[in-house]
Amino acid sequence: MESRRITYLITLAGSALWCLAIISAPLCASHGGALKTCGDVLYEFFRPVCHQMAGRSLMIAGEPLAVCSRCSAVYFSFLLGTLLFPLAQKAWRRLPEGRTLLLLALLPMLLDVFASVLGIHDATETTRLLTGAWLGVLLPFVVLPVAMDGFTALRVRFSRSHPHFQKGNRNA
Amino acid sequence: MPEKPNKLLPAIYGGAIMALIAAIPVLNFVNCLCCAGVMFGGFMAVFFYQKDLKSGMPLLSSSDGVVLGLLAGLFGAILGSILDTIILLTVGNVGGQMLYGILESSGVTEQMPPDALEQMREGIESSTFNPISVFLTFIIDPLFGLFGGLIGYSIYKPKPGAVTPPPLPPAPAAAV
Repeated sequence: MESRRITYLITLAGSALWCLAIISAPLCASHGGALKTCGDVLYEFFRPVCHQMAGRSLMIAGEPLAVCSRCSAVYFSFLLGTLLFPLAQKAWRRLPEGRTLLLLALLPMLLDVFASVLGIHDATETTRLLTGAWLGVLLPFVVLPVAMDGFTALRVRFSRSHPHFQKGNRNA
Repeated sequence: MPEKPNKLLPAIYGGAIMALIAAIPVLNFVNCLCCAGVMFGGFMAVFFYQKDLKSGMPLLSSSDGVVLGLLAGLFGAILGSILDTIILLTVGNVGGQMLYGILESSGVTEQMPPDALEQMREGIESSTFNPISVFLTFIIDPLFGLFGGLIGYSIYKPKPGAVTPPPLPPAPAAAV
């Protein structure tokens, strides 16, 4: 399989697994026994990634998701953006690349956070979700093309420097 | 044509930035936003690397962004774990104590159920070296470092049509 496609599929599978783990934590924690332990492990896994404050998290089965609502919006919409990437790639090519697209993606969230810190406006659940989702859905269009090119180039370089490895694979 | 500079040093600098952000109390709250501090370390590794690229060298490539981000994440995990352990053994859980102080002064602790408050206080006091959290760091830091490296490349990538400039001619020998 072409290495650009492999990189895309790995990213898609990885982000789907990540989102599944975020939802699974409260679902497992709401049960008893081994499932509860499994939920605790998932919460522990996401602890370095997010503050996990229950008051700022979406709830499932009476338990908070493994990350806060802003982070949840970023991760779930990143998955959506990754799913849309092959379909919307041609249309998105007309949009600015790299730093401009990143700035467009980050700006609403930065405004929401800094305006809230400065006391200009109160960040609400809606603004957290919307600005997080905006960043998450645009981010694959910034990082995926670079990741696909980068891993393809690394694979080509590796097969050139290790021709025996490639030969062995073909024989296998 | 001169070869590209070594990636090790920029990756170590990026990793050191990640480790410092994670270790400094209050500043480490940045990581609560999708590991923004870790991504910043990966981004900075690309920044330092592109600074090292001199005229005549091959241009910055997407594979450089991938390698630098991953390496910075790996060094960030190593340096961060060392720094965390040193801080925990010498001064204890400073970050936890500061957070508890902030919550106490803002009156949040008064509204908390006594059980939850006691659990939180015990957690801060009994904080010790946690091998599981070190293991998790070695997964999360390279992953988010990679994202930082990819973002770094998308910002510093050469403009379309840019070609590797020819190396500068050697300086003429000074007249004696």
